[in-house]
Amino acid sequence: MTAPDDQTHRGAGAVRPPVHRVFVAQFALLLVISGAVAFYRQEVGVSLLLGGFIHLLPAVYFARQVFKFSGARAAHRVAQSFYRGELGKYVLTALGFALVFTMVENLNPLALFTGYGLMLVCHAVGVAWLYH
Amino acid sequence: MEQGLIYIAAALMIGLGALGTAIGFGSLGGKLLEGSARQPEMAPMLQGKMFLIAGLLDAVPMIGVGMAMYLMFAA
Repeated sequence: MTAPDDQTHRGAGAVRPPVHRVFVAQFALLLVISGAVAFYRQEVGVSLLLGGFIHLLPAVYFARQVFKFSGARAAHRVAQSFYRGELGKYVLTALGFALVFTMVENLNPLALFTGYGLMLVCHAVGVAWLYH
Repeated sequence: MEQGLIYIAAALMIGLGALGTAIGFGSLGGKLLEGSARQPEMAPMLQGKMFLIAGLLDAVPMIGVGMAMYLMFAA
C-alpha cells in the first residue's frame, strides 16, 4: 500500500510513458554517427560522442524526476519534480561542459556542440513522435 | 581585463538563460496545475506534453551554458 507521500505515488490509471525508448534510440544513433566519424577523424568522433553524452545524461535525470509522480492529485508534486529535474539538468549540463573543456585534450568544440545539438533535435523529434 | 570581461559575458549568458528558463517553467507549471485542476483525467497527458515542451524550452539556454563554459575554460 503506497502512502500519498510516497516518493513513487502515481495516480489511478496513470501509465509511465515509454520515454526510455527515445533515449535508447538517441544513444544508438549517437554511437553510430560518432563511430562512423571517428573512423575518419578520431578527435571529431570523440567530440561528437561527448557532446551527445552531455545532453543525454542530464536528460535522463530530468525524465526520471518528471515521471516520478503522476495524476491530478499529485499535480503539485509533479510541478515540484519538474523544477527539481530542470535544476539538476542545468547543473549537470554546466558540469559536463566544464569537465569536458578542462579535462579532454584535442577537443573539437564545433563537433562537441554539433553532437549536443543533434541530440537536442533527436530528443524533441522523438518525444513529439511519442506523444503524437 | 579581457579575462574579466569574458567572465562577465559568461555570467550574463548563464544568468539570463536561467532567467528565461525559470520564467518559461513557471508559466508551464502554472498551466499544468490549472489544467489538472480543471480536467483531472487529462493530467497524465498534460504531464507528457509538458515534458515535450520542457525539452524545447531549455534547449537554447543549455547551448548558452555550453558557450559560456567554452568561453571560461577553453577560449
